[in-house]
Amino acid sequence: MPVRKSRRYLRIWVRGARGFASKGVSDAIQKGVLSLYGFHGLSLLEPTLIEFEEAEQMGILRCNRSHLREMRASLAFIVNIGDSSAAIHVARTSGTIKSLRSHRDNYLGRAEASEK
Amino acid sequence: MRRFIDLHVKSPPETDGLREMLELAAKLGFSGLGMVADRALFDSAKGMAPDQGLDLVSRADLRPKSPRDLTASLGRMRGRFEMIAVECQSKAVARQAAKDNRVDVLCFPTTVQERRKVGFDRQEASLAAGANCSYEVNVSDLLGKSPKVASGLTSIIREEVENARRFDVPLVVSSGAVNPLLMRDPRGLASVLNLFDIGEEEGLEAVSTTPWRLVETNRGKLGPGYVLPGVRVV
Repeated sequence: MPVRKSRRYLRIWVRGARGFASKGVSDAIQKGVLSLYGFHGLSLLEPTLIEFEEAEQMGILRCNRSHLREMRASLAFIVNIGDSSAAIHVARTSGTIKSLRSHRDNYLGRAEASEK
Repeated sequence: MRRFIDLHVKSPPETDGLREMLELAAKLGFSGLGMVADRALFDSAKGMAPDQGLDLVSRADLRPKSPRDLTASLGRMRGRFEMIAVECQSKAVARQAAKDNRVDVLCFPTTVQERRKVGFDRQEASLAAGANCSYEVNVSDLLGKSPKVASGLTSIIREEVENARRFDVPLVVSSGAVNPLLMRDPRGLASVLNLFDIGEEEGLEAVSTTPWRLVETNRGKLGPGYVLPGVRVV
């Protein structure tokens, strides 16, 4: 019987001088892991950008559960996306995408409320 | 619940940038921020911080040229700042800073060559343990560096962290950010310590319990009635 891989989902939030496209963010994450942990690390962490909303610059990233710390460290080391300065922050992590989606709504709701 | 603090942030020169940094720190989940800023800017930040739910800590980074220079600066600054960090430029300064209990945090050069000469060795770790100085890892020192430089620095810092742990020197991890794009979330900062063979719990302590303990001790010293360690007028 196939064993299901355990994953962890991260609600990421990108900040930069300009907005970034999903492809650029995904490439930067792969490059970040590669530069810090190499091909072997990339194969263990298995980072995959599941979704990215360009309007909000927020997305959901999936990685291997047992390498969550390495994933966070790789994200912390990202200073560029393409040729622009940027930073990727983790707003929240979860074992399911569903709870992250509901968190996004609360997060944006709070931000709008505080702006008012 | 853990209260996180980024003990090393350098304030941008204008108020708008400062506000942005404070808002971002609150959004990233910090409850405290150690800020290097001139007095006027720090006062305006202190006014803005409560709106963001932040506790602001005044910090001075000293870059003395000689041990004598360090002693003189400490005499002038100790009573005015809640946190004093020394960026050690020479071995003599590093030795003096490690044994002076008026120094809270020890920092080291960010270039591989200089760091090899001046780094945090066992003797310094032993002195720092006696004087209750902390060893700080600034994540910004490693960001945006070429693989050669980053790997060289990582290797040196790993040895330094090992020395700090061997002598029970408190370990602090900070962003060392000079602009909002260099700020990192607290768990991200703690995860970077993974590169230096530090576990998750110890990493989180380096960005929460350890720096807060340092801040609270210093606030006690700056408070009324303090005479000497262990002596207070009641």
